Amino acid sequence: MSHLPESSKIPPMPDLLPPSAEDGPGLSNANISNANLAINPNLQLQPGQIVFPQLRSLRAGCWLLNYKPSGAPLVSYDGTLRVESHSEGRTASGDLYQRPVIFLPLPITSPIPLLENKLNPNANLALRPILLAGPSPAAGIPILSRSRYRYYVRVTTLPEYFYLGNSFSLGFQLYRFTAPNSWVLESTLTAQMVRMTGPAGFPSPSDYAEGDVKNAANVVVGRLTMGWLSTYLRRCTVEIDTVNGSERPTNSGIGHTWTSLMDAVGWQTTVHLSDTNVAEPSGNSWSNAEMHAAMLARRAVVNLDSEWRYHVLAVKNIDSTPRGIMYDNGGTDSNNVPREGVGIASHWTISAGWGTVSGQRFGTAAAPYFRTAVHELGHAMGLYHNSADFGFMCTSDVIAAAGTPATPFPSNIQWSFHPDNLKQLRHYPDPFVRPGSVAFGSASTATPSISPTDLEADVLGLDLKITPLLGELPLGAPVRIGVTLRNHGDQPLLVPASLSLKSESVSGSVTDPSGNVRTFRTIIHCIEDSPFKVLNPGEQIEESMTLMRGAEGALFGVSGIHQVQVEVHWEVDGMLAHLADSASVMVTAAVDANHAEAAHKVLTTPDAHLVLAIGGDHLTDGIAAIQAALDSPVLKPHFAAIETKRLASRFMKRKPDAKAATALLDYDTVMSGSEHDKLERLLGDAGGSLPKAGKAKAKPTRLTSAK
Amino acid sequence: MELHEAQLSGNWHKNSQEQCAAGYAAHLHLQSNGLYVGSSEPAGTFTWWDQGTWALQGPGKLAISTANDEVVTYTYSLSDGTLTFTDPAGCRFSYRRAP
Repeated sequence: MSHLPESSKIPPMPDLLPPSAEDGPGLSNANISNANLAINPNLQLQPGQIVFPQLRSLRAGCWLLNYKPSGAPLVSYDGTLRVESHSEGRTASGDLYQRPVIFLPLPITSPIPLLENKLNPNANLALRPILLAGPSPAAGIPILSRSRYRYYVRVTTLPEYFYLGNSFSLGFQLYRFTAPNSWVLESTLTAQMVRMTGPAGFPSPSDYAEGDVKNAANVVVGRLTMGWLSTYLRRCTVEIDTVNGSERPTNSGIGHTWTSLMDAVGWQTTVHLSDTNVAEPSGNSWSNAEMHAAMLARRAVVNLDSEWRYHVLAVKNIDSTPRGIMYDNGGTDSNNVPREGVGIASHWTISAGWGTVSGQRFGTAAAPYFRTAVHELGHAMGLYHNSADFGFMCTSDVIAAAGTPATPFPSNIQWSFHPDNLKQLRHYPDPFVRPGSVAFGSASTATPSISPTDLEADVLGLDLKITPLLGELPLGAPVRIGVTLRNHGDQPLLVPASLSLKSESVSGSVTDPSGNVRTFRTIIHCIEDSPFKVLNPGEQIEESMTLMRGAEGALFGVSGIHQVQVEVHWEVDGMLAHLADSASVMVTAAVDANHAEAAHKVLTTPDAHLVLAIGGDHLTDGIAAIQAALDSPVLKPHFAAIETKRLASRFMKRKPDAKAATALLDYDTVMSGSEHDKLERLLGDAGGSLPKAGKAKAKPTRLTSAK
Repeated sequence: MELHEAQLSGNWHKNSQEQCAAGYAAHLHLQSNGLYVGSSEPAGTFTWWDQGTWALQGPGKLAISTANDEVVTYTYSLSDGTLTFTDPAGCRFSYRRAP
């Protein structure tokens, strides 16, 4: 349902795309025909006809992205979405730049200017805001102005390899950027993207989708469009200038070039071999400031807001380092534009102990010379040293020292970036990697948190279903959730033995009415002898959990609709099997002062949750908070089982008190299946018994055959 | 010189809180082969001393390659297990020898 006003400028949804063969790898023509039937509601299906939904994939590469928030017709963000497909799954990220708005004087529309001016003498001075056009998809991967940068798009969910039908779900976070380098997670959003024919100019019109963007409260907050542009993720230019007598670092001598290396990164790279006669200002050896000045003087005319151009200057020697440097990082940066240029020294004599190239002039040793140029360019792209392997961001000294007689330097050079650096080059926010944006040393994988590498794979045949025990609860009450994992396939599957919140496999999050997300996972780490079990076809595991607090505080701390998401993960052959389901619960406001006071106490006492999880008599603050809840007629039914469990359990020298425990229970007591089972056992052991079932008792944990 | 290099080799933990020293590694491992590895706190944050080379340049002078590959000469002193540096900007900070 759209919440957009009728006067919204957002265009209606275009027609659905007819399926095409390219959309469904491996699909036969017959299946494609059936898929046509499946998406055409006007066609009559024949009895017994099997309809195969269309399988589609989200194409890897760079997509042109546009996001228009609702209710602000002059606000529009353009940018790119980078979709990477790799052996571990998918990773996607993006960047958004605000489209400029300019003000134009209102044109004089009256055929009688004099008359109009008489009526409104300021007519010629009136201004009309104009939203400029966005980037043309025909121009390839867009380069947008640094000053217009607004958001990093951290994609959190996207279709795994293939999806069914004409739509797919995209989940993402928007991190707001404020110069020089401040990031704030502003919103967590989802969009149900619908494939449709892209407007003119897109290289592959069928790889285009649009969808309404919704916030955590399921309210439409904008509209997103995305159209595929390129198999590359980013693009740049590398310009190489040299002094007379210095070699151009263009290749390794064993087949690696700028283009081949950057192709592997996913950057579309143009190499501009420029001047070879840059004058030496003060002899053979250059200072950082001299290299910076030479870059500004000799670099081709460039606007870093329309081109990502990195400058490589090859000189004979460098004052401040033997081989190479990313000099453009601050002190020597006379134009205050960081990470534009690097320098490399062709006339350094390679040290003894550097394998087969010891004693050579650096510029004549193509492999280490070219490698150093790539290393320095990595710094210009925001990367730091990385000794996790012998890739480009490791230092040459370390690689040379690691040479062996069998594999001497430089044959032990690894001609690639370490996977962490590859991910950074592909998914860092633009300001971290593009020249002339944030200073060297400012890039971070944590701020903003860059897109997760998607190691997750859905397991065909398994379904996770969560069901709140109560859909509506009073403020302050714990929320009990039933969890069911069912094998509806025809093969036995190895699955986690327990879906309890005490299991390492289970975690989740709660999104409150304002869109704030709070996570939860076990606070007790159990070592299980047999963490997995075989789930046969038709079988299911049922479990339940009670939620109060997570790492970020109370999970249900305000009234309103809360969205609960439960996820189950476990490792299968290096991949992460993943199942998830979500449900909503309604938290009602405090009904009176007594309820408000009790809710206040349990919501602000972290130990109340620990009493729920581990029991005992030692958490006095938590016990006091739960007692306050028990004193509230509204909350008592929701906390009685928790206190009963504590009283019915031995704690140090205190014996279980079955009588006091049982006295707390009545017909209104709310308890989950797990709680029911545990109380029945505890009270039985203590000489008591569980009274008749409460009004909201869940099924106990057990392996059952699904109906 | 070799004696001094032997004295400097090993693990060092920064024990200075000066703001000007924030960009230097929290932990420094000076290897006897002239290489070093620095690490920051919290892990993953940027440090100018992340990985590279170190070499004595003369009495009280130590050249260390930095995060952008520039080799910077620092003055240093070693006393009672404390290694004190002064960088070219005049920032003074120290490390304690660690096991």
